[in-house]
This record gives sequence, structure tokens and C-alpha cells, in this order.
Amino acid sequence: MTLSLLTPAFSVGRNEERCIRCGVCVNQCINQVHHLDEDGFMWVTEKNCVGCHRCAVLCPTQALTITRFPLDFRPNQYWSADSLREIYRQAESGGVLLTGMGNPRPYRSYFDHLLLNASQVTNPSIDPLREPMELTTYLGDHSAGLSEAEKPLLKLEIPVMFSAMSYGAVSLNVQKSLARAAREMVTYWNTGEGGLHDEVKEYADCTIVQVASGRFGVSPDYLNNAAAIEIKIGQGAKPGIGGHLPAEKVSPGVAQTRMIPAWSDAISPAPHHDIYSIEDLAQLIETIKVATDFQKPVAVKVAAVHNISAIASGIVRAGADIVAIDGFRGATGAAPLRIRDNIGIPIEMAIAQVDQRLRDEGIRPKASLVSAGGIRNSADVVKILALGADAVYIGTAALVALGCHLCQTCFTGRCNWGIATTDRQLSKRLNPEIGAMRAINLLKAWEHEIKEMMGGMGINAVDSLRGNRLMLKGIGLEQHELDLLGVSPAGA
Amino acid sequence: MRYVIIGNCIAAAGAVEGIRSYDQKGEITIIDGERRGCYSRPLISYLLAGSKGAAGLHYRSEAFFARNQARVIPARAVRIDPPAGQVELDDGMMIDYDRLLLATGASPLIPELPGIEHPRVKTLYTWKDAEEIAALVETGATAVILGSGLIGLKAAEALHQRGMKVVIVEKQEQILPRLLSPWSATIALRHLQEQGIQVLTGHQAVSISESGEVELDHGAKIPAQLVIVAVGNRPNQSLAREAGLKTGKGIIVNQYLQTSDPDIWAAGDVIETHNILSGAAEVMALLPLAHLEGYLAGCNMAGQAVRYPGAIFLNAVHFMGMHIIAAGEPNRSGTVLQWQQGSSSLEMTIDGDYLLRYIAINLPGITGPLTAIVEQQIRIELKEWQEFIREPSMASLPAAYWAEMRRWEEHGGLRCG
Amino acid sequence: MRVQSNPEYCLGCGLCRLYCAAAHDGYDGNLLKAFKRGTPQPRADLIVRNDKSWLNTCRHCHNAPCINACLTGALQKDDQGIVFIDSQRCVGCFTCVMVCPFGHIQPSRDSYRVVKCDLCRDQKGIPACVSFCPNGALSLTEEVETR
Repeated sequence: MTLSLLTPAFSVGRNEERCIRCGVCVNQCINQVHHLDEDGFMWVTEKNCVGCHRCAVLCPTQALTITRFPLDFRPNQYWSADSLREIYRQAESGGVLLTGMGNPRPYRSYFDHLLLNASQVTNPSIDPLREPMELTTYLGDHSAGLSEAEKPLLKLEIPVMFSAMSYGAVSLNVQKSLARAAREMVTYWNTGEGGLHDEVKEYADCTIVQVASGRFGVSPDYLNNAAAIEIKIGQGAKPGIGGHLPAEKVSPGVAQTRMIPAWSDAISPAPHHDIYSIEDLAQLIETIKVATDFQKPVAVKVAAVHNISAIASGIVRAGADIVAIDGFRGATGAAPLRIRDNIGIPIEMAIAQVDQRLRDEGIRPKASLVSAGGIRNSADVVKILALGADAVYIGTAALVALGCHLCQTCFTGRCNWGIATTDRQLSKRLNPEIGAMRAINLLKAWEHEIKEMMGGMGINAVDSLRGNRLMLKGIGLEQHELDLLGVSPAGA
Repeated sequence: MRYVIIGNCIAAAGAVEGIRSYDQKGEITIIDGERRGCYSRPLISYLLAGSKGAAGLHYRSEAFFARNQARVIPARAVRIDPPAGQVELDDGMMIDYDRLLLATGASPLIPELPGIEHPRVKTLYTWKDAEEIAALVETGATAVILGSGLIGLKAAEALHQRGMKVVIVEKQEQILPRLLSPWSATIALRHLQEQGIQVLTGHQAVSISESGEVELDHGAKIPAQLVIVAVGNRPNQSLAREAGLKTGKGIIVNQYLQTSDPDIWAAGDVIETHNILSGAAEVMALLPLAHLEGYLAGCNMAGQAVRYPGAIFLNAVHFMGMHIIAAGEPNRSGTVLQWQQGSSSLEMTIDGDYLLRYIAINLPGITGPLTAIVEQQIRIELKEWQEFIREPSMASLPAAYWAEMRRWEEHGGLRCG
Repeated sequence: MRVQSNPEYCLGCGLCRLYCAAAHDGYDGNLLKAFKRGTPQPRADLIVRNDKSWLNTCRHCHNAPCINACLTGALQKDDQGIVFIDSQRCVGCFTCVMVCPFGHIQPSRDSYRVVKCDLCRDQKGIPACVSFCPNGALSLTEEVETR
């Protein structure tokens, strides 16, 4: 047997003055990092640790610490420790490196280089605790004139929706938590490409169902048990390739909902094999509208890529009521590492450009713009609305609210938080009653913060924030970046 | 309404609780023949051992009788006059009653043996007995105990703890003949012997000398400082018989615990109880039964009509670090399953789909569910028991038990009581 | 009133038992001190059966068989309906263990008495197990188990 050249990624520290040998860390770690013998001897198998912190959070005496494994290489700004480890792994496995969640690389975050305005003296601030603040948002085709028939719209009381996360990538308890929270907060959740499980059908009125390239679970029943249908062309984490649910996550429940065999890889092809041109997309949109009697908005979701403006324009002209754009920080349950980390463009750029282009072409009212991929907090929401989005999708933030620690091993299905797994025992760890409460709390908190920021700007309705570049100033940005975003620099 | 209770032990306390759960106004009078208050009889061996003081023997306190407004008269009842509705006491007083409960308990059986009347020969049944025995204890001297039933073994434990050399003489071929199977009795015997208790099975005493020497049937003579007679008990039925009530092995009652006189009830060690498993009416002198019977008799005396479906034998006892718990019917045959690990053992007798009896030594954890299965006659196939006996635990209890528990939790409660 | 355990959300982590033990016998909820200095005993067992687990709590029955069977009167029901043990009077005969159909009551570590759930009646607030369950599997309910 040859020696593995891999060292552990994390170091597990145990404070012996605090450890009471209760064994909770042992029984809670699916990766079997902790061991306890009958005679009270405790040790760790550190190479199994993925840094999810389940043990540290549940330890009743806070005896555990998780740190990066202290193995320093000679300083090398070019060959980072991670780049070396990735080669060691490939040398041992011969395989494509898989990963989960979103792009962690230190590319520039434009959110962190945009500042918001506030009122001073003129156009006074509004106190959200004293005055009504309108966050209600309608998504869909707003181009109908007064004398024409109204097009179907989605009504949101907060411009934040839960992003597409399929049953299979996440557990049913995650979907139940988000569905309940969506209903409570009057917004929407998205089934992702895994179909709609029976136990969440009752949330039809706040569900967006996805039709992806694998067409998993798509049937007339599926389309009609929804408030809107979203055709997924791509997602920010893996533009240009299809979805991939590893066989170990295709449990019987997942198989039944997707209408595929259990325990075999569920691959969605890269393109929809019936969409090879923009006209084909128009045809699918029309077909879905006919199948749902024109009662529901049809959305199209794409990844933010190089010609996103032209693509978005085409999508709107093809009849989509909502265009959802997923930036390169978008997360996933499983994707090749290189694809996730190197493909796509920032959502701030994409939204700013698409919004401007659609306005220039005079078709902006025909479709709402939804931004996805890397919304971390309410300030990011306000900024992306100001850059032109009508609403946002949150994926990572929602899962973090449910307990995710971004260990990026979702693709294994061994999620200690019961989130990115379909294993029945692990799924129990997310009690949907608690999950729903946490998701609701997150949205409530953000809602209040958004109102505070808007009030500070002297705005009392989200319509006045939408696309309002004057509310943003760039800081530390090059001129061409400012131009692309359509904002002026701080101080100017 | 005047309630009178003869006896102030377990059944009497239960009866006070039963009466007062329906009738807060009626007068309750208790005739306390032992004149010691309501104490728990099983605790007298602890008094003898020295591990409990007088203050620790009570079953219900004086405060209990005060707050339930039950008057306790320290006197013995000598005669019941049912037509007149009166009880005559040994001090000459006459007590009138509307409803009477006989909770007179039982007394030790005294065999006919030469020398049985000597002052060193004692029974261990009352508080007074324990005090008198304690006065005779001499460290290092020998105590001979006739009978290896529960009382005999508790007496042995107490006297051993007081530093005496203990010899038990048992007529049958095994100890605890009415409680244990031969297999379990062997395990229990080994434990006792390891603790230093000498046991002679298959023998009985034929005479006791003035100095306390016990002569056995095979000629052996044991010089004893003290002899305890623990060969069984008999219900105290004389009051009932003389009053013309129907009696058999014990006072005969219906399923409402009423005697042949409609104004007289009876409960506890003095009555015949319906044995659910054998179908027979027999004396089942067990504390939990006495309390329940007293309680239900009290309810019925207060005007309710609560049926007592009967009982099964059940016993839990602890000697010198060994816990024996056994429930069910000892005299029926069936398939026997056995398990042993270290000092723990479990023996089960199964007939068809029904568990008839179990004996658990140093394995208390699963006895509660097993008692419920025996008592409620939950149907479980033999093959499930064969699976269970490989490693007895709560988790490995058969599915039918868990289904029954779920039913109870949903619908609230057990069937009996 | 009793603690109900939901096998749907019980993770079998055992935190409930840790906090239960520390809430009794004078440790006053101090988990670290209880387990470092003493041998605290949880009052209820976790049952793991067929991929499900749950805490085997006391049902605080309406007509409790354990109170009926207790040889010394140590087992009692207080005016909140809580079935508790006056441990001074308990002699460890295990008659109560024998008659509890749920198998809840357990011998103490030294086997000279028994312990059971008392709904943390000597502590302030809700029972420790309910308070510290990380997944909402335990709840305090008003339903009563009747005999």
C-alpha cells in the first residue's frame, strides 16, 4: 500500500479540563473523527475532519476547537497550500475534483466596494418604525397597458426569495423549512431540479417549480402545483455544464420524486436537448404557458456569463416573464472545483449591465430581474436592487441560517447538519419547525434592516430604490468598473 | 356515613385514600390492633438490621391521617356484630359502623414442634417481634432460620448484618420454593453462600431444646442463640368467621371486594384474590395488591362501583447485593428460556403466545415491561422471545409490547385498575 | 404533565441525559463540575430501536402503579401532579421498577435506592432535558397518563 501524501485539512483540539467524556462529539460526527473507548480514552482521526463544526457546536462544555491543520509550506504566493493539496488529491484519485457551495476565491466583491447614500438636511430620512415602508414587489411582465389584460404576477412582501435547491442536493426537511418560511413571510421558495415531493405539495401557492435539462419530476401535475415555473438553463456555480447528483444521494425518496432509478447518478445534460436556439426557448416558454393556461409567470434562469446582456435581452424577447441571473458566487451541492472557481462573472456587473441594456432597448418592463449568487446580508440586497434587480434569491444565506458551516463537502451526502443529505438519520438533525423559525427570523431581520437603510436614504418604497444608481457610490474601483456598474465614485 | 376499618396497615391506608377520593365528609375510624401506627411491615427487617430507626418505619404518617380526617383508635377488635352494625374492642368499647372494612392481614404459621414455645424461638412479623429479636442478638453467635421464603431470607440478611452466623433450614430441595424455579434458585443459593450464609435444603427441624439447640430430621444438631420461624403465614380470618362471613383460604370477596355481608368489605393479606393467570381464588399476600385492594374497597365503600379484576403474583426483593424480581404464575408449565451473564440471569416460561412468568436476578431494567406483558397478557410469539433472550434489553423487547405502549400513550392508560 | 419525546427528531445525542444528571443531586446544573468531580446519574434512559431513538421519560401517571406498589411510601405525587421519590425513605427494593410498564424507574448507581424523573421540581424553569435538547425532540405536555 502506498503512502498517502495528504495531511489533514483541520486540526481538532480538545481541552481536557473541559472534556467530560460525554461522547456527543463521537455520536454526532458522521465522518467518525472522534473516538471514545470503554476505558475513557479519547482520540481523533483528523484526516476525516471536514471543518463542519458540528462537534464543537454541540459540545456541552465548549471543549473543542477546530483550526487549520498547522502545516506551513515555505511562503509561495503562487503555489498556495491549496493548489498543492489539489494536485496530491488528483495524483491519488485520478479524478475530477468535486466540491460544494460557492466560489470561495478572492475575486473582487463589488458589494464590498459600493457604499449607500443617506439623507442629511434635504430629503429627510424616514423612520421605519413610525412610517409605512413599502417592500411589496411584483414579479412578472409589467408591460401591459391599462386597456390590456393583466399578465400573471408573483406578489412578494419582501424582495427576497429562497433560491433553487433540489430535493436530493438538500434534504426534504430543508425544503419544508424554507417552504414554511416562504408562506409565513409571503415570498417564494424554489424546488430546484429535483421535482416536488408530496410532503411539500401543500405549499403550492408559494412554490416556484423548476424545469431543468434533466426534466426531473416534470408532469402536468408538477406544473400546476406551483405559483410560477422556472426554466433552468444554467446556474452560477457551474455555467455550461449540467447538474450532477452523486449516486449516494439518490435515495428511494429522491428517486421517486425525480422519476429515476435509485442509487445511480442523476446527471442533467448541459443543454436542454430541445433548446438549441432562442426560438426553441420561446417555444418551450409558450408550451409551458399553454400547459398552465397562461395563469402563471414563466421564469428563465441563467448563469452570469460573458454576453449576459445579449442573452438576457433574447430571453425577454422570447417571452419570459422573469429573468433570474445567477452570478459566479452561486452555490451548488456538487460541481467540479475548476468549473465552480473559474467560470462566470460577478452578479453585480451582470445585473447592472442587463438592467441598463433592457432599459436601452425599451423592454425593461416586460420582465422582472432576479439576482442570485452571493447575497450575504441585507446591505447586499439593497445594493443589488439599486443596481437594477427587482428581487433576490438567497441560497447559501438560507442554508447558513439553517445551520450550514460551509465545509464544502455537500457532494458526499454526509452533511452533519442534516442539510445537504438525503440520509434519513442525518436529515433528522434539521427539525423543520426549528428550520422554518430560523429562516423566518433571517428574513424578518433583513426586512427590518432593509427598511432602516431605505429610510436612511429617504426612500419609503422599494420601487424608488430599484435601479436607482444614484444611491450608490463606488470606492476603490477603477473607472471602467464604475462605468460598467453605472455608478460614480465616492466623493464625486 | 360512618366508615370503620379494622387494621392499620397497607390496605387500611389505601382504603382511606379510596374513601376520601369520593367522600370528604364521612367519618373514618381505624382500629389499630398493633397499636404502632401505620408502618410498612417489610421494613421491620431493616429495623432489626439496624439500618432504619423507629422513625423510618412508617408507611403513612400521622399527618396523612390527620389531613384525611381518619381517627385512629389504638385497640384490638374482638368481635363484629353485623346485624347491630357494631365492632367490639378489647377495652370494652363498641364502635358503630355503616360500612366496615376488614384489613386484618395475616399471622405467621407456627408449626407443631417440641420446643417451639421457648423464648429464644421467634417469628419476624410485627414491629414488636423485631424489637424482641433485636434484644436477643449476640454478635458471633448462631441464628437458625426455619424457612427460606422471603421473610426467612430477609431475617437472615438482617441478622448477618448484625454480625451473627446464620444457618437457614429449608424443607424443600431449593430455597425460595414458591418464588423461584430450580435453575434460578441455584443461582440465588450460590450468591447467599458466597456471602457467608449457610443453607441446608431438604431438611426440617424436629425439635428445639431449652438452650436453643435445633435438632434436624437427619440427626444434626445446631446450637443456636436464636431461632426464627418463617414457614408461612395464614390470614387472620377469625373475626370474619365468627361474624358468619363466607371464608375459604381467606375471606371470600366479590369483584368489588365486598364480603358476603353487603356492608362489609375486605382487602389485603386476609382475602382470597382472583389470580388472573390461574383462574383460581387464592391468598395473594403482596403489598402492592393490599394497597390497591384497600383503595378500590374504599372507593366502593364510598358508593362507587369499581371492579377489581384480580392480580398476578409479583415480588421484588433484595438480599445482600442480589436483586430478585419475579412475576407471573409459578405452577404452570411451558417453554422455558434462560439467559445468564455474570451475576445477572433471566428465566422466562412461555405457553403458546403468552408469557406466564419471568424471574430476573440482578437485571431490573426490563422487569417493568415484562410484568406488564404478563399481567395484560400481551400476545407475543415464542420466536420473538427467542430473539429477545439472546440479549435482553429495553430495545430488544418484542414489537407487540411497543405497539401496546403506543396504544396506551394515545388512549391514556392501562386496562386494569 | 410530563415530558414527551419525539422519535422523529431525536438524534440520540444524549445531551438530555447529561443535563438531567447535572440538574440533580446537588450539582445545580453545573455540567462541568458535575462530571469532573462527581458521578451524576441521568434519570431516564435513551432507547435506540430500529433506527429510531427516544428518551424513556416518566409519564407521571394519573393512578401511578409505582406509587401503589411502593413498600415504604417513598414514592408520592405532589400537588403539581409530579411523581417523585422521597429518597430518605427509599430502601431500594425495586418493587416500583417491577411495576412500571414503561420501564422508566432505574436503580441508583449504588443500587441502594431508585431514581426517576421528577420534572426538575427542585430547579427553576422547565425541565433541563427539554431546555437543552438541540433539535426540539422533547416537549413538556399537559396530557395525563391515566391508569
